[in-house]
Amino acid sequence: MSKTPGIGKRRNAKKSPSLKTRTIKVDYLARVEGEGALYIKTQGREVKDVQLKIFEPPRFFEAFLRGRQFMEAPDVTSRICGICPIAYQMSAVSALENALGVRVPESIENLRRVLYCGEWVESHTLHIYMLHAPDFLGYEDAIRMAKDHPKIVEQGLQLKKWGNEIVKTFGGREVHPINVKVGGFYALPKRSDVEALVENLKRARDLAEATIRWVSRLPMPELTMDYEFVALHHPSEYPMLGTDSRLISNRGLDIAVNEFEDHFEEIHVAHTNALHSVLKARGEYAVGPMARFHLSRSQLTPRTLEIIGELDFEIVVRNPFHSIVVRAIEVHHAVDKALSLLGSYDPNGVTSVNVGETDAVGYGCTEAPRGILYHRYALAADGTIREAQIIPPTSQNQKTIESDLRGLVARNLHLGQEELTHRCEQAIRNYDPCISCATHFLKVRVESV
Amino acid sequence: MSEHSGSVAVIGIGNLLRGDDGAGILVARTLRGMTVPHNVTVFESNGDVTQLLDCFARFQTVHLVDAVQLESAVSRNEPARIFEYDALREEIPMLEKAASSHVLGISQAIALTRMLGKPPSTLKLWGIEGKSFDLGTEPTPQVLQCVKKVAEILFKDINRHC
Repeated sequence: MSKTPGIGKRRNAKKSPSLKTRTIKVDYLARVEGEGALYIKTQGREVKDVQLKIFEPPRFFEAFLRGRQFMEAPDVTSRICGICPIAYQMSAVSALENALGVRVPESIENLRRVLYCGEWVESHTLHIYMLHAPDFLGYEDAIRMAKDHPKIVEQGLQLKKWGNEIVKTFGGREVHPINVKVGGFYALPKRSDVEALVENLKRARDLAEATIRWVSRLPMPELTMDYEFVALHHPSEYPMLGTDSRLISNRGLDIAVNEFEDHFEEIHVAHTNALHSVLKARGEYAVGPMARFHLSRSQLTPRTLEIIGELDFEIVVRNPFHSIVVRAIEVHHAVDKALSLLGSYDPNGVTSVNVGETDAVGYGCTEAPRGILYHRYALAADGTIREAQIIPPTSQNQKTIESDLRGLVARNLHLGQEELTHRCEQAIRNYDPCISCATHFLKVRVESV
Repeated sequence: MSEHSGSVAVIGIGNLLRGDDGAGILVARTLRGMTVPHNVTVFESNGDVTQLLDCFARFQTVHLVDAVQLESAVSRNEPARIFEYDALREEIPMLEKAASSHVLGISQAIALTRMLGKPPSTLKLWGIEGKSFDLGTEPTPQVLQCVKKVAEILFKDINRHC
């Protein structure tokens, strides 16, 4: 059972309304990035409808890529998301190298893994400390949490900063990294820069351990759901890059990456302009840290597994609120893994391999912080991209998020409107989705019928 | 207290792929094309909170430049406006709502630097009213005029205090 480390400012729950028909309608606020809206309708004790609308920025980029040279794809796709550019670059190079019949040597693969570790650290850490932990402690936002817990927030910011440092060292830049290309890297960092990074990552590893222990003591809402988890699986590595990996699930899926579109499809849903991704055979599925943890837990680093064993907390993957703990675990794994790979860093190693041009189709899939990110490219003989398909993890989780909301609301109809809305927001944040939002991204208008 | 007394940072924030959202970046690049004093550093940023907090701790004076989107309907034909705020002493109404579910932006960075007690001596926010933020578009002519104007204002300001 988790312990409550400290209670902060609590919201004042309103009295429960009578159990007639309730509508939770959250209107979209004009944002730079796009739309996010939530509609839930209940009647008595039954949830009649749940509709979640999420904007999908990759759709524009698929069109944007057509006619461009394939070498531009990593730099273009990295701009799809400001917090996970590496994921887009890795899935892009994976698909393009698949098309071109290129296999990079292990040394480049290892450095790509280090770079990806940096992104997992910065993305997960930002989410844990600044976006999600305030929900669990009853704060309006991280700013208010910082007032009561400045050391905790500083810890999170420092850890994120060291994640950024990995990305800057190997990606060339913290934001929109510029050092990744099809075939490898444009340049390798100096040994002195990597040595300085290693010293910081040793401190980061201690902070990551402290993060696991802290979040495992947060008060956890109860919710039990049934998921089909889908993730990459590698014979020996915790899933991250797609090399030598297959896509598996806890319900028997076991396919090669190039079979993705044989088993998954995107369907148009009437209430939203976003497409929902489903398994053709069984419908909704979940991707992300919980899926990876459930399917490949034994491949975490030994020290990470030790820490899990020491916790006075049992992770229940069917409770989506436990995802904050799993993210913290993945942060520790990423730092630990990066350190082990950097122990053998050679600044004079192979920077990249040659790539040619050919008329081909290639498939790639890697594990973004939020889950599997699938890319497919069709190339023309002159190296231009004829067609691109990008399926991000957030759109794959949409139906699952709706199901979670359905289950959550059904169990919490006794709560007042404000409390229930907050719980819905917290539940959506379990997936760290790429949608436009504020601290309270859902504005609630109650319609009682 | 900043590391470098008298040091100035100008941080242009934005995304060049989103039309007028690139305004801050363009101001930074315009300034880089001018001869700025040696104690001035010009940055480009996407508004990453740790990067901003780092700058706040390292520099005595910080100018942030970003496009802003107003909630009221904006006419594309009207000139774009420039807003100037003392970010340490004024509440900035247009920053009450963040624009993303998974990144923290300048409003949070400003609030955190106040909360954690490590602000620069001077922190100014320059907002350029954006007309269009559509993906893949060029900045509007009105915003480009404001970019030039803000760069000129900042150039005079940073030279006046050297």
